[in-house]
Amino acid sequence: MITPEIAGTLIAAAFTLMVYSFFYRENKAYRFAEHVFIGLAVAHGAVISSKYVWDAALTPLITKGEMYWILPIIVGLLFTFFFSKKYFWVYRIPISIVVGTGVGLAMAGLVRSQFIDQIVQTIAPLDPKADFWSSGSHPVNALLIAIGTLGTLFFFIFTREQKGPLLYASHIGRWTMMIAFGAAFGFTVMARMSLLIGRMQFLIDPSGVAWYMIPVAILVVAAVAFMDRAKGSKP
Amino acid sequence: MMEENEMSFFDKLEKVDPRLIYILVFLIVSLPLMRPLGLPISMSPMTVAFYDAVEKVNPGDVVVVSIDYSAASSPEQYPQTKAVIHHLATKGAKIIGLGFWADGTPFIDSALKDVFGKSKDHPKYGTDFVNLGWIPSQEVGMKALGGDVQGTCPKDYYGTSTATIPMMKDVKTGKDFKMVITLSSGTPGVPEWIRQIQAQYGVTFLYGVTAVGAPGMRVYFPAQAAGGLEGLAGAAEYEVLLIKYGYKGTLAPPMDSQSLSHLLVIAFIVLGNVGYVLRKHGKAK
Amino acid sequence: MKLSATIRRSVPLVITFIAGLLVIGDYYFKVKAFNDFITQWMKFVNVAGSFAVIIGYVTLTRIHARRLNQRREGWYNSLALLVGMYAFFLLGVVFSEGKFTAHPTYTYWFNNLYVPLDATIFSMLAFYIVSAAYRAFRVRTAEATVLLISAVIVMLGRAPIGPAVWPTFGPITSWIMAVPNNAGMRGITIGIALGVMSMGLRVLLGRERGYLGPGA
Repeated sequence: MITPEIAGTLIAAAFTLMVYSFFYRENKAYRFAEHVFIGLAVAHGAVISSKYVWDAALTPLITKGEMYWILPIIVGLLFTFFFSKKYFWVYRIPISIVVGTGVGLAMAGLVRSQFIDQIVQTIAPLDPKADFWSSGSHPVNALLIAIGTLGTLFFFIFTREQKGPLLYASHIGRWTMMIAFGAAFGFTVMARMSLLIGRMQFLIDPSGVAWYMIPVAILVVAAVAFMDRAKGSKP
Repeated sequence: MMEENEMSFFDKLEKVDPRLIYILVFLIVSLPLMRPLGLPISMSPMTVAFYDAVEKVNPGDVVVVSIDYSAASSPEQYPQTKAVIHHLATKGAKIIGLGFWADGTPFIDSALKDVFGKSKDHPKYGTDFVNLGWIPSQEVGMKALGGDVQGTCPKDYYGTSTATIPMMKDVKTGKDFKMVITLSSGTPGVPEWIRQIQAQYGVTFLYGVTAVGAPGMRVYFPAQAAGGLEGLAGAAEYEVLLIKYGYKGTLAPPMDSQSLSHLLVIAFIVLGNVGYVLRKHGKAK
Repeated sequence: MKLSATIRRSVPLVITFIAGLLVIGDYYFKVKAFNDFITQWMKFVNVAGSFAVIIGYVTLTRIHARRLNQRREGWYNSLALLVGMYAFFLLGVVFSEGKFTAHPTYTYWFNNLYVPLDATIFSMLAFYIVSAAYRAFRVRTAEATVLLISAVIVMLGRAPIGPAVWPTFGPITSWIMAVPNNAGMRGITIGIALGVMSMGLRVLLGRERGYLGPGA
């Protein structure tokens, strides 16, 4: 008896394997799955935006008579002038409001959190009892962090010729960044593998039904590979 | 002669069909999920710091859990979400679930169902936890949230007016948040929360990120962020720490897969470079 | 309405400047009436910004309807896209009894179609990173060698296998993340902050107009 839950899992597994079929070669099943995903993604954005406009603007407008909510609705509708050749300039009004607000917000906030606070942390009080292996407050670590941070900043000075002390500082920065980027690469590998592990967990879960689709997929790929060979075409 | 054979062996290896590599990856990742190795999970100081910060939460404290990731990152971050909500529930916190990523907000509902059994229909919905759903406009939305919580989220995810939800009565601005935890895989995420809420209102701030974002977020620890969960490993470590609260973790086999897949990548890097060095030497001669 | 080209170009720039200045002012000036106005402004921008999705909807509809109409190669994919896009939208807005994404049918299709597709497409990166590690990661320079060593230590240290084989992997990885990684990333963060500030100034002062579209 196929319940909606079982059907849903089989659909999810089928589309998962359709996407993975790309690894054999580019094929119609993969393209189909990709297009379905794009359609759903845009639709979901529209649904959730509609809910927000309904809750935040239309509901108080209709039920409480708060007429000022007409203003953001009208401004938002001006986005549709993106498609007009003659009145395209009207589209610039909402975009300039959104961009101006966002840029002002980012600038105001990051002066403190990503500039001043970062400098303050580099010269923060030391703690000799802090754990050497994990704490930036340990005196040795704090010194190394300060040197590395300055070196990194000096690396990006391109308005003067890098020679003498500036060159040495820049080299320190380069080596510091190489270690940092190596760590970043290691974490990136970890992240990508985690995504695959999640999908594999779903596909081969013995308590679920997704794994029923795996032999089907293998048979389909084997049949396609056999047909490719028979045609003599390279996949 | 022998060297020429070695050279051609590595040349052949470099030109191997990539699909063989893909099959190897499938097998290396899948086998430990079926037959776990049982490798012990070691602790990261960031996870311990995260746990310690949540341990300081008192019953009744308002904690915002922001789901700022999409379905693409859910294999790493959904386990973090469940563990965090479970821990907060154990501490008696009043949990406000919301999100700034459109794709992520349905996960709040799923996580509440996984932890509490039900979401909107739970008897404690509205008194112990609430789902405010999606807030648009990224950083602008965060600023609006900090200034006026109920005005920015007039209704919850299920359409109920926020003003009528009991636990939201005393939550007016960012000052009323005791703690903010963002589970984020990009923008808007950690820097935006720090800029608009942590820096403005002095709220205790914690984060959970995908492993990709983890190195960049370290700069905020410990002055701006009190701790962080880094990827699937962070979630697995956190699950171990929550065992004492009866949390049943599921991430031991995936961490075994992680171990073997890392070894595979390292093996491939070494193999590729051995061939490169040997070819370079061969050409030099 | 015919307005001079100067006005059409200048008005958006002035709006950008005023909007940015208001928000920056809110950050530095704590005057209740002004701060309340800015909070309301934020909510207005939230609502107005939500309409931007219309652009994506109309653009995709135009492109794929044209493909469908002209029966171009792969036209059935365009049909699938349009059906998925409109069916999901109707399910979430029109047929959801006011529950939008909380409606059980919507949640069902979201969890069984959208989430698996999104997660699977991104998980393909795992295969490409292994393939790239094998084919492209070459230690041609001393810097690349240092990068590789750091990557290997972190990969082993953050997975259970590393500390299981050699317990010191854990502390070494922690130290790499706490010290050189922190130093490098902090320098980059400060640099990014300077860059964003200068770029933000350019946008607010109208020197940077790319966001206004063609002809700005």
